[in-house]
Amino acid sequence: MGDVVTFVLNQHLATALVLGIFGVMGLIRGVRRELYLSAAIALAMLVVTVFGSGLTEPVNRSYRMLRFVREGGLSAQDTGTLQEIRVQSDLIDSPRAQDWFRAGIFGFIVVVGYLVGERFGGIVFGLVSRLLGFFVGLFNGFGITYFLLPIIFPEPRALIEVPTGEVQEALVRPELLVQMAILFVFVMIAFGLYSATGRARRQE
Amino acid sequence: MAPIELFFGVLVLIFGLIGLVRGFLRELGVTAVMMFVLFVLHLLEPFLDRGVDTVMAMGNGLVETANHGAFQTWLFVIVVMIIAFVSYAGETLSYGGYGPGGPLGNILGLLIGLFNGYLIVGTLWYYLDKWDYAIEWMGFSTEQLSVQAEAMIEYLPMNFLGEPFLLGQGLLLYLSIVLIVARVIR
Repeated sequence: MGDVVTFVLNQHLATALVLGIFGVMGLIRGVRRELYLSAAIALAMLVVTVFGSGLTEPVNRSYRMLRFVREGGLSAQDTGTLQEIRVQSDLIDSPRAQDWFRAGIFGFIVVVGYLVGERFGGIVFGLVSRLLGFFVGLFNGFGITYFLLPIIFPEPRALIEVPTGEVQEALVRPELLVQMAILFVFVMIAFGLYSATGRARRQE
Repeated sequence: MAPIELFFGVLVLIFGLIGLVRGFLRELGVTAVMMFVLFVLHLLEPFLDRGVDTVMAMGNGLVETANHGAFQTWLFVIVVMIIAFVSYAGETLSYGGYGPGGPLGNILGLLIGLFNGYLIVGTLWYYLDKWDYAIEWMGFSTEQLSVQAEAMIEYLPMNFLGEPFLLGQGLLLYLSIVLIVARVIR
């Protein structure tokens, strides 16, 4: 184990870290926006609990249907396509996949709630709004962690292995550098368009 | 003869200087057009190749077989150059409004100019390479390529941005959509 660096994160630090992130987000976003997120979290929990397992079958059916259509549907040249799709495994075919599916629905509703809050939550004024936002943010962090933690880390102890050597190798790949350069150009384009003024084309 | 990477590198730098002078928003119009045209050329590449081959076969008596590569290279080089000329000459396609001024505007103009240079010059290089540098008087050949030049070919716009990225489509499509949407919004 000489070439492995070990970091141990105890439960207090891990909880404080996660809740702290959500708290800071609440501090920045303000209480009104955070309340939209709280409502979304409550709705997501309700939807996942009531409908979560019932949605598995329709999703699997739709997945097979889409595969059939993609392979050519009724006009496919190969008549064995339907049989092939029939014997293939489901999209959600194990308890673990079901857990991830439920987490996906939960995450989707929470993200929508976050965006709705951003859109309709108004501008943050004053310290009180921010402080309240901080506390509601902590509460939201607790709700999200409470729901997602057993799915992401089902075992009582998690060892996260970060292949730092491979990460370093991946970071110096020429393809990644070119991709980063193109991404940078497009970020600068977005920034330039944001900084540009006036909509009308220049009259010259 | 200068190495091909140096030759095309200098051309890209010239495009950067042109971008510096023309300004960010005008250059962005060129980027949008070139990106979209490259996407179309990439999408239609198999059909265009087949079509050109058919035409070449029909006109076999007129053009020497040995010059087919040069003919095809010239054809695509001229197409790219005409599109580049049109997008640089016209005002219709430039983005509306006034770009950021001062040093920021200069930096953005230079950056987008360099990017346009990469798109245009890189595409010309791609077509030269595709037909093994068939335009002989330019003095380039596959055997003379340096290690750097061979490595760079992989990153030419048609190769790199055309490579499937998401849902079987390359970055050319997605970046074209982003630029066209931005153009419509402005």
